[in-house]
Amino acid sequence: MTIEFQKEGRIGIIKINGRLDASNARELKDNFVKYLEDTIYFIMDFSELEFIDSTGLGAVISAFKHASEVDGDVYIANLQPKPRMVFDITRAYRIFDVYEDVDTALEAMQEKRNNFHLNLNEMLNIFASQPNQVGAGFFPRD
Amino acid sequence: MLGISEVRLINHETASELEEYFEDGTQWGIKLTYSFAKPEDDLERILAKNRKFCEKEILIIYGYQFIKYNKHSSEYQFLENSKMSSISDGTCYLYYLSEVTDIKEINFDTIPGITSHELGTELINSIHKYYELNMEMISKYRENYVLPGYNNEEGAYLGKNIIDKKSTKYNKPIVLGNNVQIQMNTLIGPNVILGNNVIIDHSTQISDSIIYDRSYIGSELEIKNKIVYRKRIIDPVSEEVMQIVDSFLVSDIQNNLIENSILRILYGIFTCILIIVTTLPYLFLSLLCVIFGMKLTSRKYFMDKLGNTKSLPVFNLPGYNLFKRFFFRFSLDLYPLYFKVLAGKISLVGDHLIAQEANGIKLLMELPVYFPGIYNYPGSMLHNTCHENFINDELEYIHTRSFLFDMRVIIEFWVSRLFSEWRTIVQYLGEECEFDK
Repeated sequence: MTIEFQKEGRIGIIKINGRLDASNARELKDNFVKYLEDTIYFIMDFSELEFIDSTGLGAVISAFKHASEVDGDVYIANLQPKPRMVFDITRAYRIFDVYEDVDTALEAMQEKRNNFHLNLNEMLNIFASQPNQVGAGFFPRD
Repeated sequence: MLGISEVRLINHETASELEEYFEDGTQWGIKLTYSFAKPEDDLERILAKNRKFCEKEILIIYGYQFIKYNKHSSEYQFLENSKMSSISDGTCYLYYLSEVTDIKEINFDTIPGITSHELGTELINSIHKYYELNMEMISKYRENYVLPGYNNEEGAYLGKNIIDKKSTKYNKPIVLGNNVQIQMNTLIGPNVILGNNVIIDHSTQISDSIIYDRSYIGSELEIKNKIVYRKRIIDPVSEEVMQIVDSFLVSDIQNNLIENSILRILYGIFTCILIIVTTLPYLFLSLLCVIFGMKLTSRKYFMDKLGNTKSLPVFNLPGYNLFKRFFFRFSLDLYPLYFKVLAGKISLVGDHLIAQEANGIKLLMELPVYFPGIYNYPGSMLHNTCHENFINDELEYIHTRSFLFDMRVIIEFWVSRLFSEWRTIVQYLGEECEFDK
């Protein structure tokens, strides 16, 4: 297995080539911890992933968990038919957002990030404009 | 239905997989033999090579095809009246030759064809076609065919010696073979065909799928629109075949039975060792703790995804007494639960126990599967059910579990209880929902 990592803006794209199984799942886990220092939004490109077993899947879920812990996210793109079957039968597809290709995943991830910032800004505006009502106690009064 | 007693499978190449699957045909009550033909052999030559076999009346199924029929139809009288006849859809052929037919004189091109509304052939030229025909047969035309097993209610064809649990649910139509074992909380159907000697482990859902003989389907899986042949999962749409290496997912039943039995024994032995090692410390410290006001009560916990509960012994919240600290730091509060493990009521390692009260049912619904154990992955990090990462921890465990991972969970569970800050342990045990981040 080889892991390629590149960044598109603030989103990290992790491309996994070959087999992801018990023999190399640790490598993905360890690498992901390093990538997390750089960004918290990831797309896993599985276009060249030939095989995945339960330990490999565990490593992908572990990555998702680590990203979620810091309010990040992991999307999956280009899931190939064979690995898809493992996602199917183990119901792992319910955990991840799976996109047809990296571009669509990138768009969705960007949109999610924008919405998040938009909501955050809106919330801050509301608090700032009505400090005596909604945000009472949140902002210090003069 | 046609009284066929002998079948010969003739192939162009070695068909070891076919022979391995069909064996000598005993399981279908027929005598099955095998033979070879060269790729250039035409049907006349093939029959000549198997002349002895063809001395009685024969039905020739030429090519990989599905024979459509209706068992209620009376159209098949032609078989009794004709010397030879054929049915074809242009791509595959079905010939009937009566015993008076002299094989040497047959010209297959001139055999009279039959037009029947209810008897026909259809070429099986892909996995997708094979799957589609099976699904069509079970969902729409099951009344037309002789299906295995007994059928005392619409849409259910059941073989002999089916063992299931009260919590097993069926959505018809289904066809279940002989010696099928279905564990608790499973959902079978609709449109499911299970072969003989199949085991479906707990909390698994199967729909629109074909499971071959001697296949083991692991716990907590979702098999939908698939064909499972022992270790292989086949997607009938993409026709991709995936060889599964994790025997706890799907596997050949014989291998899995051995593996499961070994694992069960290992967990049993491990639990016995835990009981032996902790009995004296438990008796000593629990006595001291009881003197200092600790009480053994019971609390209702969910035991499965269906919401069934069971009362399990729990010790009241630890105070700051030194003995109580030792008692909980050495995980001695789990001691009474070891006996529940030996009785098969709960797993040694599994999902975190979810109490019935408060938001228990909500958590239960969020988990794709739930099979509680006294040692658990969130617990090994002192994350209780209120912790923000509880669901993620559980998901990681569900998809990573293995014997080695379980051992790691047990060790980390002990280590975190032994060496973590006492306040964190109290928060965990007391299921407090306010965490210091």
